[in-house]
Amino acid sequence: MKRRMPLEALRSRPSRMRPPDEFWAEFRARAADRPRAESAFMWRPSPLAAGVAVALAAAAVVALPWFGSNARAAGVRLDSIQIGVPHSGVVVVYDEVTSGMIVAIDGLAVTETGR
Amino acid sequence: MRRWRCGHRLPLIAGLAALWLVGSAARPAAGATLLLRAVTASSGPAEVDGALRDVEPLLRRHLQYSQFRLAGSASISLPADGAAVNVGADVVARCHGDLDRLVLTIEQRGRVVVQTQVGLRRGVPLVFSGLASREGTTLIVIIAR
Repeated sequence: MKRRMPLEALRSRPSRMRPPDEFWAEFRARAADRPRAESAFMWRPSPLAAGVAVALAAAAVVALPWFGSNARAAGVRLDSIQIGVPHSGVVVVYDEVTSGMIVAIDGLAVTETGR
Repeated sequence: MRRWRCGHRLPLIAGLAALWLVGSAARPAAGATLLLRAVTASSGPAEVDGALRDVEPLLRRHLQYSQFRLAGSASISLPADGAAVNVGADVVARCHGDLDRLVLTIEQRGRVVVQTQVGLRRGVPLVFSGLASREGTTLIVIIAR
């Protein structure tokens, strides 16, 4: 929609640059006279909830290898073991509470002490 | 408008903090110390050495012994270069490598009893049970600090 302006308004040049305070004071005064539109409802995520979500996502991405093929990576990982003396067996116990591990070598003490 | 910008910043800061926390936990433990304890385990009246309180529940849950006495201990700074340390109870241990890949050799009376490669984490114990002892058995309790 075209608006017509009086020629005088187009010809007139500001005589001086107004200071910013003066400009904004006038701006606010004019804005106060105009009716305000009702603010439309817009859903915005809570910053705290968004923060928690981002933190969880980041932690999940970084910790992904831990929860991969080796679920016990949080505790002791036994890659290999060799018993160098006669024995009757080896029992590996994984402790769910501490994530620790007990490697029990059976028959070794009996062999060593001759009992 | 300004408030909305702050709302963007908070998730970013929280995300970075989470990354830092998880990253620091996942980092191979630089400067960790390995504590090796030789423990004499036997049957009889329940008795646990005060120096073994941190692993007492683990030992009691899985081992049939009721007496646990500290026979000796040694510390190794990681990464280890394979130097031998005398743990006690005629046990000598050699460690090579870092926490995530540690080659551990346990010798008793000059004989290699166990040679293993393990991945450890700070505060999580690894126990070798069944080594020879005059009374009961000898345990080697390994924990990284």
